[in-house]
Amino acid sequence: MASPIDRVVHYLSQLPGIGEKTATRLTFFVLRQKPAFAKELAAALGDLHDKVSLCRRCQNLTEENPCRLCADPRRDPKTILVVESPQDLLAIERSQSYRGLYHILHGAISPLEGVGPDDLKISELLARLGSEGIQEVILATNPNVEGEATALYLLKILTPLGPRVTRLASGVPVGGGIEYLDPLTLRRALEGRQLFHSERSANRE
Amino acid sequence: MSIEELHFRDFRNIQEQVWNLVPSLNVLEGENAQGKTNFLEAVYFLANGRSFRGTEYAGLIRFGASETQLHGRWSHEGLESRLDMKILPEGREAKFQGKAIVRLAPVQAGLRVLVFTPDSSTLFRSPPQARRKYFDHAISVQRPAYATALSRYQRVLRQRNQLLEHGGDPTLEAAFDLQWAECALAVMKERESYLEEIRGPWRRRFRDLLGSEEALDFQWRGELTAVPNLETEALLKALDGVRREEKRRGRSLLGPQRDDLQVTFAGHPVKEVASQGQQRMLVIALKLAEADLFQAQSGKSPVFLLDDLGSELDARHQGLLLRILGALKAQTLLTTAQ
Ligand SMILES: [Zn+2]
Repeated sequence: MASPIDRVVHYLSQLPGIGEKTATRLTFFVLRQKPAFAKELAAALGDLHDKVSLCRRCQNLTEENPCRLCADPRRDPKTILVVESPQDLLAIERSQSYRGLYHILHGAISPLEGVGPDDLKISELLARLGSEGIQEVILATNPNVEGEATALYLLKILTPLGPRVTRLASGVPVGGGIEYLDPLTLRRALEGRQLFHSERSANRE
Repeated sequence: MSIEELHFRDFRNIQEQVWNLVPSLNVLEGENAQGKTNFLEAVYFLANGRSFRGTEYAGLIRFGASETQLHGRWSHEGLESRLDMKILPEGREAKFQGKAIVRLAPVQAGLRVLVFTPDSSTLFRSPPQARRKYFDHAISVQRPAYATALSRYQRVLRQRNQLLEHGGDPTLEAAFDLQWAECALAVMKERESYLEEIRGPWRRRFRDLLGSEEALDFQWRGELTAVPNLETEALLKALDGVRREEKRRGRSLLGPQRDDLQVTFAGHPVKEVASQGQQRMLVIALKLAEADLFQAQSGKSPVFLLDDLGSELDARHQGLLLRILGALKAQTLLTTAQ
């Protein structure tokens, strides 16, 4: 059997963005800490699969079922925002700009990677439309080719079911230069443009 | 704008070289033709992130070395820029002004390096693929947005081909068809608008070199380029016409990945009617026109790399070209056999 160091390096280097060099550095870091650190880390890792599961409504990673967000009575239960990953959900939550519910697909359609509609949490989304009286579905998949294909696919299969289906306006990224934007993104950004003071005037109404 | 210092390590057969250049004409003399071409190739790589000989990264690293290092320093009106590049077998890493960058667009906005080698002359005799590759790169450096549109289109194409090869549900196919149409349109429009922009300068430069215009014209040619007022709907309709064949063959059969830039003299394809000398001038005129576009956009002059010019041009045309480059205030790196 490989040495304990080799085993830790072996597993760490399988994590995304971590090569063998970094894995080795991390392993030696752990060795330099008090033994309790390694024990706590191992226990926390062990709990991941035991205690974290997918929320039966929104498919987010959660310890309680339904999750904290789905259980929150202050959130608008008639609107679902569809994202690719839990990280996307966190990003939107951090912005504090959305007060409805979520649905997490856990991926995007990509024939090249062998990911089709059946590999995503789409049937779970369809089930929710039937049972929860959803009025609007906001598609917030990524603006890349795969996210766009997923949004177009969902638009086609969700629209006949009745809810209003909208796409997150994919516009000019803040801080990104307009000169690097491809014509397609620029056109979409223009189509999705808004009055400069739309929010303020909406508040006045 | 001119390059002041170059420092190369482990590029092809170059172990280590440091060069200090003058802002005007730099002449490299020597017996070793290969060594001189390698030098120009390294300069070109710095500004373009690729070889003009189409060599993969691994082939550029000196035998026995694990990586190549290229450093360049140039200045424009007293402001210095610095680029440090590493070539590794699996890719390249660049630092511009000390900061890591992925795309070279910020570099190319200020440093434009154009090359003419004995191989360049064949551009309009080569297969369409070579011309597409040439213009895709030329348009990308002049218009960074084109590079974005093109890479998105290529991604859609690969996804769509995969779907055509293995079959998918019709709703999913429609989702990729629509993206194909939108992205194809973006690529085609950008190519068309670039051609509009370069048409005038290209004709003028050809006249400067040869004294005649030969009723020179340029057109993008392909299955879809003749459709008037091309929009997404028209592209999708054209797709309907080939859908069966696409499914049978398992790949996309339409789109700008098949288009070609055709050059004509009085309506006749240039490769049929132009002499080799005229074709050579056509390519040089194109590079000068690219320089004109860069200058108009940035107010800066480009750098020209001329490899073994004596084998391609007679003394009169060499003199003429160097005078034109002098008038452009373009820094020139010239290799010669004598
Ligand atoms: Zn939930």
